[in-house]
Amino acid sequence: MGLSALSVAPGVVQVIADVTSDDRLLVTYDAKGDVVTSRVVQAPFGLVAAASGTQVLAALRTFETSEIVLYAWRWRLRASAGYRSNPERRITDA
Amino acid sequence: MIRRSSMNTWWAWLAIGMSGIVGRQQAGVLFPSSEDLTPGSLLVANDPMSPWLRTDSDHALELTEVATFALPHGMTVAGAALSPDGARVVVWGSRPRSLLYFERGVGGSDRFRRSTCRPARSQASRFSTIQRSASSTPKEVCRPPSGRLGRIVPRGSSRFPASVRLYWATMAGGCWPRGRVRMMQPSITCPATACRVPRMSCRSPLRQIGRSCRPPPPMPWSCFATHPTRSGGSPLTGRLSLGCSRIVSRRVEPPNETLLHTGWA
Repeated sequence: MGLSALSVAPGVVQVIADVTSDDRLLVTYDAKGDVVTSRVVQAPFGLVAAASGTQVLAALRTFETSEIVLYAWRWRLRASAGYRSNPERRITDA
Repeated sequence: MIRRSSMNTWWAWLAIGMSGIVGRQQAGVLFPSSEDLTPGSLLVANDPMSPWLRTDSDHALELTEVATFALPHGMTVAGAALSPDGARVVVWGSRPRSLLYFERGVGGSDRFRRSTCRPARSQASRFSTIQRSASSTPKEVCRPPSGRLGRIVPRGSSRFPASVRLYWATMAGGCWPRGRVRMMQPSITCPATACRVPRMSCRSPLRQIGRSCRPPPPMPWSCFATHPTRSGGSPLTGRLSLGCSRIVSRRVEPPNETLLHTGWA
């Protein structure tokens, strides 16, 4: 089930949920609608709203209780500082 | 909902390095934790293991957690909306029917304010779908700025999140034409002071007051002093005439009451 596609200018992010499991597919699209990145998250998680005036997204996630989480978002280059292809390395806020 | 048993999956997912949401103990909820990961960040980059991988993009979308609001246990969330500045969240619960309002603390404070509509109020504050039928007469709706929940709210059932955006629009105060509104466009909002009242033609002596024609309110008496040499009074009498009249429909009625006649000083 596809949740709302939210603007993360110049692209769009969407969560596609497998309602039978905790799997969630996060997909980002560019302005033309082509897939830029995708990632599977095994957690009941969904992006539900975006702020129009600032780079903030709201997500609903459920562990033992449900909560609304606000995320600041930004695009970054994979090669930029802080990003490591080895995810066991620290992901820092560059 | 993640169950304890499924936490193993979570940990496995973390261990194989595809993690992004990282853990901490918060509000009694156990999150996976790792000192090697920045708490609360999620990187949407291409996962080489993903069968969905279609591009080899160098770009990644990084999400960094900045606030968390716990929802009441068992609440079924129908939707949520963010204010344009990202500081306020409205959560619409379908079961129980409820409306939650969260606001981030000022100055980066971690304390949040949560307001919940009381049941009676929540009943009265169900969001409405704006009338969109072609037959409906567009009417401009103006609301003053309001920071209170449940104040606004039109009637009928709701479609989310358009109604919530209506809520935000109302929170900010503004006016919009009912029946024409495209709720998905936040630009419908306008300052309360910008609300325009359509001009009506009223039969005299009625005057437009608000959106209807009504008799004019009684005007206060306007009192004056007449210099005899300039307004037809007799210069011989050398008297100053003081009187009162009132204005009706731009026409000044002749003075019907003379309060005082006095001689020149």
